[in-house]
Amino acid sequence: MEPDKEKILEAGYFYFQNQKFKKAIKIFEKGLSMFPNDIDIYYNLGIVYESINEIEKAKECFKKVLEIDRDNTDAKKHLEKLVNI
Amino acid sequence: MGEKKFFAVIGLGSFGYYVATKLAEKGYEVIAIDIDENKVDDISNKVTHAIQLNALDEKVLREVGLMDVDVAIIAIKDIATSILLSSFLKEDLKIKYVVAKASDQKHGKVLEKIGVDRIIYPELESADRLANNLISPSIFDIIELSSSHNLVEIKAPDIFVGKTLEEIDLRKRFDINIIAIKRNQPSTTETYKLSYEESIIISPSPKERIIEGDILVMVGLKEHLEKIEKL
Repeated sequence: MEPDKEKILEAGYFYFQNQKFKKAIKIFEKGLSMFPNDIDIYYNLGIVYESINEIEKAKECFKKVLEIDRDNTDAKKHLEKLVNI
Repeated sequence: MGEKKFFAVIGLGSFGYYVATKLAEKGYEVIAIDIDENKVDDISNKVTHAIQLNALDEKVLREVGLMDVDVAIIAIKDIATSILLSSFLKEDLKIKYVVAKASDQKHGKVLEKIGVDRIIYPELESADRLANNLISPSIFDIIELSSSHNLVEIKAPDIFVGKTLEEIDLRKRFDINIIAIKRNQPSTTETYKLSYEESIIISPSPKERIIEGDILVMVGLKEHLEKIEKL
């Protein structure tokens, strides 16, 4: 049985909240292997990278979101901010 | 603190424009001046006063009350105009603090002789910053405090993560002081959408524990700081 996406987001969220960033990244990466091109997971992964100042990796995630959903304003906002760093 | 400073920005190219709007955004009174009417129009609703005039017209400069400003920023590309204006503001209007943008070293040298209080080389400075950033991606910013000392912002090296400032003891080992930590705190939003808030811990206590992704703001000798950057 595949776990549902909500569970992945919930788990990533939990680790992120507890500042276990590496664990959160692992969860989301695993999530992407099950739900490739999922914008919610990519977006959240981008936020984790951004919050630990992994700028290049964060940019890649937000770009990916925008490749799939061109009008995603949240991803756009974050990407614009990162480009200026 | 005394009264709020009053600024003039002369020359509204992209540099002058950003300086003027930034100061106004921070709540300061700013007079923005340019010879080009379009540039004055563009900034008119963002600053206290936007005036179209020729910066070499000394009579008009007096009339608009330029001598009352605390700080004048000259951001004019044309070297001759920039030099003439600097000397007029410094020697005739006796403005307390004059900042001028220099296009190159020669221009900067002349401005220095005139007595301009601060000379900036925006292109050189941003090139420097970019070069440093490309060499070491963990450096977020460098400010030169003196010929020997820098203030740098670097991402906390992995080996520091989980340790307290007391444990890494940079002061003893490298004679470096960590004056602040910039940290992104995870924050909650609706339905599993992650977010974070930036916080800054000024003068962190020795018991403060470094976490992954922290940006350390530190001051020390350049060669000592370079050692940390390589960790």
